[in-house]
Amino acid sequence: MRKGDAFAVRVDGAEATAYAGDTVAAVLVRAGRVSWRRTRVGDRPRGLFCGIGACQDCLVTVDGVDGVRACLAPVAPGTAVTTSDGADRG
Amino acid sequence: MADAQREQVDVVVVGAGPSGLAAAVEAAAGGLRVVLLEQSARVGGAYWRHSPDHLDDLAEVRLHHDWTTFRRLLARLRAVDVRTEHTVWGLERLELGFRVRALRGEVERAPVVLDATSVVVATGTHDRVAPFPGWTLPGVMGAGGGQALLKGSLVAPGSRVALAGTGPLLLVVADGLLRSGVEVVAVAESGHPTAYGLHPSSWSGLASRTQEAAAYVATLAQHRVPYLAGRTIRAAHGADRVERVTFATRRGRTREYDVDALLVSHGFTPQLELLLQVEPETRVDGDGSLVVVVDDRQRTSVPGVLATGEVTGVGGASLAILEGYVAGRALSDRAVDPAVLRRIDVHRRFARTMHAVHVTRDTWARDLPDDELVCRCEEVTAGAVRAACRELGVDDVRGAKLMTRAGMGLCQGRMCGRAVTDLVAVTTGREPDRADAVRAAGRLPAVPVPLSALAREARTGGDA
Repeated sequence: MRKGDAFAVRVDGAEATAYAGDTVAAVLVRAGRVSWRRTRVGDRPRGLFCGIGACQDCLVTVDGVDGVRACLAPVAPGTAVTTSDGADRG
Repeated sequence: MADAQREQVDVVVVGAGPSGLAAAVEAAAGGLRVVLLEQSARVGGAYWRHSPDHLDDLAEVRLHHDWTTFRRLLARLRAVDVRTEHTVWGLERLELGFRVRALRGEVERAPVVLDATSVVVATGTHDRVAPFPGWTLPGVMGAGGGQALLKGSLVAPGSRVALAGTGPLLLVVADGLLRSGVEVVAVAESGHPTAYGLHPSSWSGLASRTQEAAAYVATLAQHRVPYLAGRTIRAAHGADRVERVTFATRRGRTREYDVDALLVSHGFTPQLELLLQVEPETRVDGDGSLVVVVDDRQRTSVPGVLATGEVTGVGGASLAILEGYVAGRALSDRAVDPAVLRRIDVHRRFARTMHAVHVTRDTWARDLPDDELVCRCEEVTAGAVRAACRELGVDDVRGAKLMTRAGMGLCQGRMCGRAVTDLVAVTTGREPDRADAVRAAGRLPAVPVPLSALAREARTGGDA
């Protein structure tokens, strides 16, 4: 399943493919990520839950701004996404 | 006022789903200056999600319902000042009219202030997910959220997907997944849809809806996907993601399925946070949701504030569009087609039946193990809430919040408000009332606002 013009974005320092109209979450899920951060208290993995901007589970850092809802934020060519899982690994 | 420029308009519509779109185009057609604010990057809401460049892509069209209506609304949207990527977080009464506060851009977060004579709140719903063991595992998500991913970006939430909960949405989403080539292993519907037969008058005027449901069931059958009525989700299992789910009959017979995603919807939670900031009259609807009371012109008890779509009662997109039309006509003092009002009644009658057939019983609140989370954000367990009830005398959602921090996290109780209310009720035996529902839903600000943006607004006089 794919569509639209493909372009490159960066996810945790690596190049990833995005398509016109994608959200950050779409790019992450397409790249096979199911979780991308851990909770504060229980160190539990989290990814998409509500998927429409209400639950705040899917937060990522986009172009240096943290606390961005991956399910809402659109990507553009060159958008740099950092996840807290990715930062921990790096 | 460099970056919080204040503007004066006739109408601000919040939410560009079916009802918000309809309200905006009708109000604009009546000569009003209308600004339509939408938090995502696109109009259409959860119902019509699309890639803007690919409106003609057949693969997409078949994922969308009532595409013709959407196109018609889009064509009329030229008369409306549409602003996507605007997250509205504040609604305040002024001496005359209202002040609407938003942040522009999910990343940029520039403060925006709009003053409006009237406001239409069409903020829609999110999936209600009643907690069960494993519900916080990655790969478990709201059915509507999973559908949003599929429709919006043509990305499937998994490759082997199960669905659970109750309501027609499960069928709609299963159908969408199957048509996109995703394997659907089973659909567990906790209700008994044959019960619709007990209310024939409720759907007699809605042939299209029964035909649609029949078509979904046929798609499932064609793909040999079991549609399991009377089954509930007992647990999701996995280490760092969902790998397996257990469905159970009411008598406790279980069956497991290997999956990499589980989509759940126990009905919906209307998003009333913004509306509650102006304290309109509310009521608890047939599905247990807190909704806003409106008259036959979609007016709330607060003059100048109208509400349309799911915030007035969960009833689906067809009803929402009609309500939007009525609101837009009312705002511009134009006559409302009486046939539309009759149609709205038919849809609402159907919604009442739907709520009666698709009930999520509160047995989950009795069965949920003590160590399972109820509040995802603050990671508060069911055991902590129960202990607060038994040992600290907590008997409502507010007490639970104070004593356990449930509902105090990033989502501000939007995910757990209903669940904590039900859990407290089951634990204490005290029936929740409307005031409980208001306390479980209402918070300021309506969305998490970065303090830096608030500071910027204060500095630039946006709050003067």
